[in-house]
Amino acid sequence: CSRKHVKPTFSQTILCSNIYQNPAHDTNCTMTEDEIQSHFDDFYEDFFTELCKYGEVEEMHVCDNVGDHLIGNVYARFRYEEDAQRAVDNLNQRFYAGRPIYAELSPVTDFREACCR
Amino acid sequence: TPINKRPRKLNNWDVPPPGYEGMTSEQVKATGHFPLPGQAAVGATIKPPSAPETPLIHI
Repeated sequence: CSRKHVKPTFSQTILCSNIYQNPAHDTNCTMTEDEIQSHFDDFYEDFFTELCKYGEVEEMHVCDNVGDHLIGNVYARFRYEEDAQRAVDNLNQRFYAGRPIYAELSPVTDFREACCR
Repeated sequence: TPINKRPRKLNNWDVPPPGYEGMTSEQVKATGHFPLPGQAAVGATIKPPSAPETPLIHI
């Protein structure tokens, strides 16, 4: 994959890059599997719940890949494109967990097909 | 409970980086101090590969 995807002008799906910091990726991580799972669950709840303020969220996925371009990425599909756009514009002006948010529209529509070579 | 009133365990939203309080997210991104993975941080110097060290020859 050349990673040179065309960024869509309209989309229901947003991407927040590198938002989830998986503690398991830290080589000094001493958390148990259960602790790592609940760390993730708390994040998922916190992020999903907030996104719902911008409109109805149909699906939200968090990447566990370790590649630079995917690590910690959150993809969320809204029911309506205008809500997705509003979310992107607003999220780019906000912080999460001590870091600025990088949000953009994503071309992904079907997460089962969201795989490129 | 409606989802916007659902209690949460975390309180991570709108927490700026320590030392950057009072700056907007856009301003903080523009500093280049919080690059995405794979992007070079501003101020980071790119080191040229160091010359191979001369092997020590024990006589």
